[in-house]
Formats: sequence, C-alpha cells, structure tokens
Amino acid sequence: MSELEGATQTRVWGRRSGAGRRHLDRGKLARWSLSIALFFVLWEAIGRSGRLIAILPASEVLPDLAQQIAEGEILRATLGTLSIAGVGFAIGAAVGVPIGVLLGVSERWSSVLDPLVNASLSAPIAMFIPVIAVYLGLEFKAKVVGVLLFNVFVIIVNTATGIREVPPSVVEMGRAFGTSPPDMYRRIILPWASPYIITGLRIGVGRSVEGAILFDLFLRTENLGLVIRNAAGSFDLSTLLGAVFFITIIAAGTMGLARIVEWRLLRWKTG
Amino acid sequence: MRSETTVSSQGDLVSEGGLPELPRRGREDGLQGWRRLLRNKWVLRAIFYGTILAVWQATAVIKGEFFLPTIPQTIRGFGEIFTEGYAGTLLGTLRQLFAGFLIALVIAIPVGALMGRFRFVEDVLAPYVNTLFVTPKQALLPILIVAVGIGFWYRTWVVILFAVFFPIINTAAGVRYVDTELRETARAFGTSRWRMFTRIYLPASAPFVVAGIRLGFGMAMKGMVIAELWIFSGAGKLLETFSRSPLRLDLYYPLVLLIIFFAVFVNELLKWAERKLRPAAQATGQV
Amino acid sequence: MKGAVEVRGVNKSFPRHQGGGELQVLNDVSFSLDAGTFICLVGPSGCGKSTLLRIIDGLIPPDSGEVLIGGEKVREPSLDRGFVFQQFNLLPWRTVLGNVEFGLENLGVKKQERRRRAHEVIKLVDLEGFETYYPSQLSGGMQQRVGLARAIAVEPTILLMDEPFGSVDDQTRMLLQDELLKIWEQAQKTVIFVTHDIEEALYLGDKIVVMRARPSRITRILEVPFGRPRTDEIRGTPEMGHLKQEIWEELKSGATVEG
Repeated sequence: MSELEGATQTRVWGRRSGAGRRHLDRGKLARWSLSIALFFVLWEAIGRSGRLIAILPASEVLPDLAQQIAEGEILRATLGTLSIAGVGFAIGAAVGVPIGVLLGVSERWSSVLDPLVNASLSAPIAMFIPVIAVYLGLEFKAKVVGVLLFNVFVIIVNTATGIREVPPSVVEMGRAFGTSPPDMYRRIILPWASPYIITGLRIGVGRSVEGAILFDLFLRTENLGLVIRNAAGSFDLSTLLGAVFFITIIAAGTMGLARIVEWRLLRWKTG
Repeated sequence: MRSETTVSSQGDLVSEGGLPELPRRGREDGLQGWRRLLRNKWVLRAIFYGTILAVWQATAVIKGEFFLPTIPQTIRGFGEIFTEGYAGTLLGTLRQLFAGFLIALVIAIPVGALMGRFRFVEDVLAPYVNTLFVTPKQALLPILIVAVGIGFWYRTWVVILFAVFFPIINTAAGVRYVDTELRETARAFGTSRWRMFTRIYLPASAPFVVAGIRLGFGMAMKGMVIAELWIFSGAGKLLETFSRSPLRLDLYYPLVLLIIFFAVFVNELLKWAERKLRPAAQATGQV
Repeated sequence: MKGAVEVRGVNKSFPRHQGGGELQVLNDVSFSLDAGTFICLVGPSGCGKSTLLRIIDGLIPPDSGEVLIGGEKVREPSLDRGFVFQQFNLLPWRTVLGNVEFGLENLGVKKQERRRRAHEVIKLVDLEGFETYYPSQLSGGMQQRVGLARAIAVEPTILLMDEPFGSVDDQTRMLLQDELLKIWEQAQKTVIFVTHDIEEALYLGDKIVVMRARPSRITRILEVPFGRPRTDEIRGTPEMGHLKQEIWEELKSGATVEG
C-alpha cells in the first residue's frame, strides 16, 4: 500500500492477473451507462423537488450550459487551464522520471532524498500558494511551477518503486549476456519498470489538471478559475452548476483518457 | 547502486536492496575509512541537508528578509507564532480538521466495506465514487458556500469531500482481498458470521483500511488549506496574511514547517500502524 | 585449448548479514577440465557452487585466485560463455523469439541473421511454433527451454547452468535432462552444471565435482562410468544406486556443521 493511488497492486508481471483486459468489458460499460443515466434522473428529480436549494434540475442547467459552450468563452477557458496543466505535466514528467530512476537505482540518493519526497507527498502543497505568488508572481510561469509541485512527487515515487521492483537476477542475466550499462537501462530496467512509470504519469495527469484549476482560481483568476468565480459572483445558480458540471466532465474526461492511454500501452503485458 | 551480498544466519547468500553493480571500470570498492563513512546514510543526509541549510542562510543574508528569512529569524518566528496567539488559530483549524475527518471516516469506511463485499453495491456506487474522485473539488467550493454558508459546515464539508475517497477505495480493496483469498477457506471450516467478521475481515483488511486513512488524512489537510485560503479564515488566513504587505516570511515559513511536521508525523504514525497490523493480516491466511 | 577450464586457488568470502565478520564461501578451490566435458558440481546449500559458477562466468570477482578459460584469464562476463539461470530470468514483455534474440543483439548480429539463428535454436529446444508466445503463457519447463535457447544462440564456448531444472516439476525435469543431453551431444561444448540433485548429476555428467560447505571446498572429483548416449534405463540400475549412495555419504559427512 503506497502512494500508488491507494489500491492494491497485484503482481505486475505475473500471469494474467485481474488487472488488465484485452478488450473492453461490455458488461461494465452497460452498468456504467446505467449509473450515468441514473445520475441524470436523480439530478432532475432532486432539482425539481426543490429540497436542496443549491440544486437546480438538469433540464434548466444543461441548456444554459450548452448555450455558453456555443458562445465559445468556456471552451477557450478550458483550453487555457489545460495548457497550463499540460506544460506543468510535461516538465514534471521530464524531471520526475529521471529523478525517480536515480532514487530507484542508488541507495545513497534514496536514503538522502526519500524523506524529502515522502514529506512532500504527505503535506498539502496548497499551502505554498501564497508564497508562490510572492516569488513568481501570478501569471503563467507561477502556475506552471505550482502544477509542477503537484505532480512531480507522485511521478518520482512511482518511478522509483518501479525501478526497485526490477529483480536483481534479471539484471544479473543482462550482465551475463554482456549488456552495456546504457543498454541495461534501455532494454531491461526501464521496460521492466514501465508499468509503474506509466501509472505514475497517469496519476500525474490528474494532479496536473487539479493543480491547474487550483492555481487558475487562486493566483491570477482566469480560464476555468474565472468561469467559476464569475458564476459564483453572479449568483446565477444555473450558470454555477453548469460550470461545475462542465469542469467535472473535463477533468473526468482527461483522466479517463489518460487511463485509456495507460491501458493501451500496458495491454501487452497481459499477453 | 550496489546490492550488498551478505551471508544470512542460515548461511544462504542474501541479496539486499538496490540493483547489483552495473558494470563499472575498476576493481571492487575496498572500503577504506572515509569511503565507509560516505555510505552511512546519516552522514549523507547530514551533508545534503547541511548544504541546503547553508545555502538557505547565505541566500537569506544576501537577499534580505523580504526574500527569505535567515535561520535565526525563522527560529524567532516560531516563537512569535506561539506568543502572538497564532497557535490558537491553528488549533481551531486542527479541531475542525479532525471533526470533518472523523465524519468522513464514519461515512467512508462502511461504504467502502459494502462496496468491497457486495458486487452490486460496487456496481451502483463505483461510477459516482470514481467520478467524484477525479473531480477537482476546488471547483465545488462556490456551490458549497451557496448551500451551507461559510460557517462550521463549510469547512467540514470540504474536508469530507476531499478525505472520503481514499478510505472508501482502500477499505473496498481490503474487503475484496479478504473475499478472494480467505473467505472460502473460512467457510469451509464452518466459521460463524460473527467470527468471520472479527477473526477474518477485521484483521485482514486492517492494513488496507489504515492505508486508506493515512492517504485520506493527507487529502483532508489539503482540503482544509484550500477551503481556508478561499474564504480567508483559520490557518489559511495566516498563510495569506504573512505573504502580503507587510511581508512576514519569517512567520510564513515557520507556519509551513509546522504544517509539514504535523503532516509527516501523522503519516509516519499511520504507516507504523499499518506495519504493525500487517502480520495480523497475514496470520489470518493460516486459517 | 579453447573451452578448457582451469580454476586455480579461488577464494571468496562475503560479509555477514548480521553481526560482523565474513563468511568464507569458497576456500582455495581448484580443478580443471578438458574442453567438451560435461561436468556437474554437486553439493549442499551454501557450499558455494553457485558462487563458483558465477566466478567462472566473470559475474563475481574472486578474492584471490583465478579462472582460466582456453588459457585466458576471466575478468568479466562475455558472450563466450552462456549462462542459464534457475529462475529463468526471461523478459516478460518479449516473445520467445525476442528473448532468444537477446544475447544475439548484444553480439551486434544483424536482424536477418539474428532471426535465422534464433529460429534454428528454437527448433533445437523443441519450441517450434511458440515463437510469438509470451513467457507468462508458457509452462516452467518451456520457459527454461527459452533460457537454454537464449544461452546457446550466442554459440558460446562453454555453457554454465545454475540448477536450471530446480524450478520445474520432476517429470518435466527428466524430459529436460534428456533434451539437454540430446542438444549437447550435437555440439559437444564444455558444460558446467550446478545441481543439488545427485541423480541428475550422475545422469548428465562425465565428471562430478563434489563440494562441501563450511569450509567450502572440493572433496572429490569422480568420473562417471556410464557410457554415452545416456538412456533412461541407467536410472534404475544398481550401479546408479551405489554411486548415489557413495556421493550421498560424501555429502553427508561434508555437511556436518560445526556452526
């Protein structure tokens, strides 16, 4: 049980484990669709009943939302936030994976840096928001650094774990067959660790999107952050709910996409 | 990156940690005096963190206190936090945090257990749990304020929203684990329902549950900070205040360090608990 | 002569896991073999036979002493020596073909040639038709055949095998032993085979090196009297029984521990 998103990791390289399927599970898709349909039904019902004053029915919120999307502003905002997330993620991956490899391979560096990395994972990064503003301002650069802080540690930890899982006996095999050190990494160590690395990157995507939205709210409020603030300030509940719904879809969509990419990349391992 | 090959008490060759030597030019390390010292992890840590502190101090002195407080200033800042009563604000936040977190656990653990135990429950709830899990909860703050105002329930709900997912997911995983590995064996022995619960489910899923609590607590803290930054109250207010005119970074950093210490402390505590519970979990495998 | 192995005065110790000090795992071990011999190292756990094998391969350096192969000193692993591991050590994301080609890639052999040689060797170990399978889809015995194929694909002068059939069940083991002999009889390479199974050693080898533990050294080298090719019937003969008993006695006395 680690920072690996909390769920148990079944043996990654074992024989066909439960995790991982060749094809889309039809049954699961059906159940998902049912739940989603149920969600909309509930939304409509609760909204109409007026029980929770904060909730308006879907039939009011969604058309408004559709109109807003058509006007284009909300899409531009989404693009803005996602590009911050994207840049932050790219840097996080470029920096995090090598550091993770270093920590996985070198006991020395691991003993020195592990406390730092673990502390960064348990502590709330959000507390640095005010000071990021002090040092880096409120603009793009500051937000990207913020997103970086959000995703890099998860990537590091997962990468390091993956590297540590490489059995020494396989490395010995590589040596016995005369593999050069760079080749050891390229052909043995990194491929073996790749499931963990990819999982770490997937989680990193999620955290990058989260972070981007956070910083678009708390630093210079713009993009999706502005959408939320405006909606909140206008006391137009419909717009507010619509905005939140939309953002949820975007976030869920991005992370779902990341999961699909991960699934496709690792599909062969259930081979 | 050496793997130490040593000899265990049974006389077997034991390979520990890291990866075996990758091909390197030169002979094997003869571990003379100072090299051996460099392998001691406390020495390495001392060197690394000592250097960081030195750089900190130097930067602080060169760039002045509006960029970085010096180490003595930071230490004085610690003191000031207590004498000026800021500690009281922190405690207030802490109380709210625990209250919210407890409620979150009361909700999350049973839900997770049901999800792990009954496929039907999981099928129904999973989409919501998973979707809400990936929703950026910070986007929900404005709605929440409309719904419950900015009093006690605001912060409590935020904490619940942030903290509830890891305990659910992990508890479910723990219960599922018991189901797959142990339940059949137990049933074959005709174990009564109550005993199943106490002797099998509880100890076997305990480490999972604690892991979920640990991760959930981290999220709870995160939620609390965000909630407070948004409405400018509690510890969040302090963090903001110290970072604006007049800039009191010598108070900001101690505050941040306190939060970090606290987070790490709770985390390590729960990790220890997890470790302790694991042998009990494995023992149930010997049903 | 190429393929002749000479071990001279090899010593090796490792630091103890708990408590200080070191344990002498190999104590002044020396022996030599002619090229083309099939020799088995037999001994109890902890007698250092696996360590010795790795020193011969160049994976571990000895504390003192040396190993000469074909008259040249061994310094580091080379593709002149093929190694087969007990735990197979296959790369799970590569197919059978991919795994067999692994050593050939290190040799810098071009793709077409690589394919050809890999196919040849796969046929040799009776895995034809399984080229596109992944290790996770294969049984233990088949996986080890891949390991064997990988080792012989690089056409090494000597073959080192570390309890290669230790992880498979009895029946598979006997089948693999026969296959190994069949392959060896074609190529007649020098083979050093480590095992704790006395019958296996007698069935396979020309010579047997019996080792003891604590302190580790060679107690005896004996010639195996059975002719070649070896057949299953040998297993049941009284001669096999006697030899097994003899070696077992040797091992038992060597295995008494002073602690």
